[in-house]
Amino acid sequence: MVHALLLLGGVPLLLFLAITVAVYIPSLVRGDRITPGQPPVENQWLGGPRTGTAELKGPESEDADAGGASGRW
Amino acid sequence: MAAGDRSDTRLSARFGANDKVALDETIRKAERLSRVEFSVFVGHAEGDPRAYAVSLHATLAAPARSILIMVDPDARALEVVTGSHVRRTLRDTQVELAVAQMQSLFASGDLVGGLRRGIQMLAEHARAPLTLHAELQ
Repeated sequence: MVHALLLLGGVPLLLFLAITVAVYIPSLVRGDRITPGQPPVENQWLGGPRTGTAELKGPESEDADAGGASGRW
Repeated sequence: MAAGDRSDTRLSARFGANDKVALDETIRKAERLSRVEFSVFVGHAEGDPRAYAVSLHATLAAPARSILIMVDPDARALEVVTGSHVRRTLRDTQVELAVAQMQSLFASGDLVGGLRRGIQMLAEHARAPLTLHAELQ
């Protein structure tokens, strides 16, 4: 009786766990979000400072003559 | 797209591995071509986007020789900040051309394509002109 319960309950449970791990592990390794919904905007730097945005400086602190342009879409 | 028409196309704000490789390569080529440093920030701009972008630009290792491109996909804001040294060869009107091109691609949902095209255009304009008739002292 116990053996039958273990077989009928344990095998599906193990299969469930194995499939779940097989599906989620690659995403977790890549660092992807696995929760549903629209992903939030994360701050991403390419070629930026190592410190991130923790210590922002005022525009006059380094290069007051900065130029450029703005746009909206 | 008509002026003022806000497209429903949302930008995917997260770069995939291939996107990062492509952008890194574009930045490397642009830096070799123009001899200025490029930085790209994609994320949430706190407060006024322009002021925030200028603050980010000031955190770079060499702000005077750097170009910062900041994109806030939620606010649909794009800011390009150029340092004082960069402005000797890259005028603000030329930056506006690159911004217009990037806006167009962003509006169609192409974040990576817009960034790559913008970086390429900025690098081409920021390249110091060749001196063909330098006087020998």
